Amino acid sequence: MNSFRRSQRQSPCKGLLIAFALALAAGGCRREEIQVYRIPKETAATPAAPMTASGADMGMGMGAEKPSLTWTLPSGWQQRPAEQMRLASFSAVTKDGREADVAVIALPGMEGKDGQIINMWREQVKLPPGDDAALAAKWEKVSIGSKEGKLFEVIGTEPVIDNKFPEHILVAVLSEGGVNWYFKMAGPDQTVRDERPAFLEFLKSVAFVNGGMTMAANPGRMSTNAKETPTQDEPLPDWQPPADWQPLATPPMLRAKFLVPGAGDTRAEINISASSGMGGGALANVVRWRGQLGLEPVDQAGLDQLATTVDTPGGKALIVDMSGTDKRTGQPARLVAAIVPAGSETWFYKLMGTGSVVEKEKAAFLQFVQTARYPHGS
Amino acid sequence: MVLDRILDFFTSLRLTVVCLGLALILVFIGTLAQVDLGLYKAQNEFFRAFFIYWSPPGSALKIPVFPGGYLVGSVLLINLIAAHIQRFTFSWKKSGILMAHAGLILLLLGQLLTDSFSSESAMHLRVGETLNYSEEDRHAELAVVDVTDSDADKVVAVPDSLLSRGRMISHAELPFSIGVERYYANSSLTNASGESFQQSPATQGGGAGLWMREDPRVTSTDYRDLPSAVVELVTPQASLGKWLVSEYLGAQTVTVGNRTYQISLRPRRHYKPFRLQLLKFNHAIYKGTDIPKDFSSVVRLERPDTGEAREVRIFMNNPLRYDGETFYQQSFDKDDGGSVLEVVHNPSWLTPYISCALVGAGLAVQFLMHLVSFAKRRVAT
Repeated sequence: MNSFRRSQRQSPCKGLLIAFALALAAGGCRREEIQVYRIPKETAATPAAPMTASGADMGMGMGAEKPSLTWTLPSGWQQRPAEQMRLASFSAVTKDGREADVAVIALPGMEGKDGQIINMWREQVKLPPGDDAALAAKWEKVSIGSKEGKLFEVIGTEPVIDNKFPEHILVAVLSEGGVNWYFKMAGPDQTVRDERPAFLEFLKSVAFVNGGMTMAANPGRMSTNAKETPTQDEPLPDWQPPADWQPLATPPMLRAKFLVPGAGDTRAEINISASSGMGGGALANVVRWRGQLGLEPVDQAGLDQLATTVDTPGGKALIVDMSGTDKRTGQPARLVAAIVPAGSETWFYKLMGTGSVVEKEKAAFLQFVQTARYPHGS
Repeated sequence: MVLDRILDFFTSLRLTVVCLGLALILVFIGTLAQVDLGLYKAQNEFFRAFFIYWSPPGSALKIPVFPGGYLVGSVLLINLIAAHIQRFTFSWKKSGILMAHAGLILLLLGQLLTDSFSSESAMHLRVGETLNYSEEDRHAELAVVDVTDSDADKVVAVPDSLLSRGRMISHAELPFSIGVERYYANSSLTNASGESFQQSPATQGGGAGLWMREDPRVTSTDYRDLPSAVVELVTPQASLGKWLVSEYLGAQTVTVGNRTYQISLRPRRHYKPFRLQLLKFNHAIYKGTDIPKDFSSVVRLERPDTGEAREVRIFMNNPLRYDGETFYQQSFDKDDGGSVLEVVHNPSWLTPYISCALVGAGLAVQFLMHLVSFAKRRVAT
C-alpha cells in the first residue's frame, strides 16, 4: 500500500492554506500599542542603567529631575540654577555680602578614586599633589543626612581668587550604591571658614528621595558566562607601543601608563586616559596640563595658536607641545599631548618628562597615537 | 485552477528540499553576519524577517536578495502540513514517520509562538533593592506618568517603535499630544558643543541647552543603545514646549492644569503583581584565581495580593519559575554589589521538549518496526 498516493481530499488542504496565509498576514501586521496601567507609588529605587553606554555619561545618569534630594537651606544661602554636572547649586552669602559657591554633584564609579579627586582640587588652589596615603589620613567623619560621610578640606596659600584671596575648598563625600555624592563649598578662604558651620548644618539636613541614592549607580555589569573576571574595565585600543616603552601598573582614571627611561635620571611618562563625549573639552584639558607645567592658562584663541593637528583613524587629533616646570618635581619638563576623537569617546595621550627624552620620543609617540585603532571608535 | 497549482507547489517534496537547503545557507550566512552586525541585528535582519535586504551604497533603496527566516520557516511549515494532509494516509507501518513529522511541525509552530508571544527582559537589583518590574535592554518607551494622586500612579507608555516614526502621537489617556521632532535610537549627549553634536532644540526641562548626536546602533551584546528624542508636547490650548527626553536624563516634570506628570524615555518596563528584593549576591571564585566558581542571588519574593512571602536562591541552571516567567541568573555588577536576573516569559517553552520527544519516539518506533520485521523474516527463512 502506497501511503504517498494522492488523496482526493483537497478541500481541507485549500482551507488550511488560506487560513495559514491569513494567520501569517495577521502575525506580520502585529503592531505595538500604547500601554496604559496603574502602579502603586514607587518607593523602591530606580535601577541603574544596566550596561555601559556607547555615549557620553557626563555624570547625568542621575536624572534631570532636580533635585532627587531635599535639604534645608541655611540662612543667607541662595539657590542658583544647577548647571552642567551639578544636581544643585547654591550661593552661600555671609552677612557682609561675601560669597562662596556650593555644589552637589553625583558621580558613579568613583569608589577608590578619592586621591585623584582631591589632587584635582589641590591643583585648582595651586597646591602640589599629595600621595593617597597622606590624603586618606586627613579625611574626617561628617553627618550627611542620616548617613556618615567624609569631609576634606583643601586650603590654598596662593591668592588665586581675584589675585587677592587664597581659595578654600570644603568637600563632603558620601559613597552609596556605586555612586559618590559630592557636596562642595569653594570660595575665598575666610568666607568658607565663616560659612563652615552653615555648610555642616546643610549636610545634616540633606535627605534623599525616591531612591535618589542609587539612581546614578552604573558600575557596569558582567555576564555570568564569563570564564574569567577581567581586571580591565574597558577594552584597550589596538596599538603597538614601541619596544622601549615599559608598561606600568594602570592607576585609577587612566587606561594605560608607560615609562620611557632616558640616560641617567632622565625619564618621561606616557599617561593615556579616555572620557565619554568631549571629556570636558580640549581647552579645559590644555589649561589643566599648562597648570601642571606652571604655565598660565590660555583662552580659545591662545589654544588655536598653540595647537596643531594630525590625522588619526578617529578624525583630526589636536596636538600641543609645551615646556615649563613640573609642579610635582620642580624640574624643567616638556609635555606633548594629543586629544583624539574616537567615536563617542575622546582619548587623551600625554607624554611628559625630561625635555631631551620627550624630544627623542616625540616622533614615536605621535606615530603611536596616529596608528591606534579603537574598539568602539569610528 | 490557480489554487490547485498553488497547492501542488506547496505540497511538493522539491519545495521541502529547497527550503531545507535555504535554511542551511541562511543559518550559515546569518551566523557569519553576527560578526559585523552583532547578535540582535543579525537575528532581526536574517531570521526575524521575510527577506534579507541589500542596499546599494549611498542609497536608501532596499532590495530583497534572499529569503529570511520567517519566509523559509513558514513555507516549510505549510509544506509539511499540506503534504501530510494531501498525501499521507494513516498506516501503522508509517506511524513512526508520522510521529517524527508531527514533532517537526510542532517544533516549527512552537518557534512561531515563541517569536510571537515570548519576551525577554532583565531585573537589575542592587543588594537590598526591591523591584516589581523588569526592563528590556533593547527597547525603550516614553513614559508619561501621572503622579498627582497619593496612592497610585497612572502610566501611559509609548513604545519606541511609535516614536521612531516621527509622527504626532495622541491617545485618550494622554494629557497632551506628543509630536516627535527627532528620535535617535542611539545617541550621545554633552553639555558643550563638539564635533557632530547639534544643539538640542529643547526649550523646556533638563535637556535645554544640551548638545546631542546620533550614534550608530550598537552591535556588541555587551553594550546597548541609549536613545534620545526631542518631542513637543501640545495641549488643545497651547504648546508646552519642546523637551529632550533621553535615557541619559531622568524624569522631567510637566504640569497640565492641576495635574502633575513625569515624562521620561526609559527602557521598556514589564510590571509584575509581585516584587523581588535582592538579599544577597554571591560571586565565588576558585582560590588564587579569577575564575568564577559560583554566581547566585538570594531574593525575597513577596506577593501582596496573596500574602506569599518566601526566600529563593537563584543560581546557574536553577532559575526561579514563577507566575509564567523564568528568572535566570544572568549578570552581576562589577563591584559585586548587584545582580541582574534575566526574565523570560515564554508561553510555549514546553514545545521544543515535546517536539524532540515526538521526533525521537517516532524514529525509535520506525526503527523498531523495521527491526522486528527484519527479525521475523530472518526467522522465517
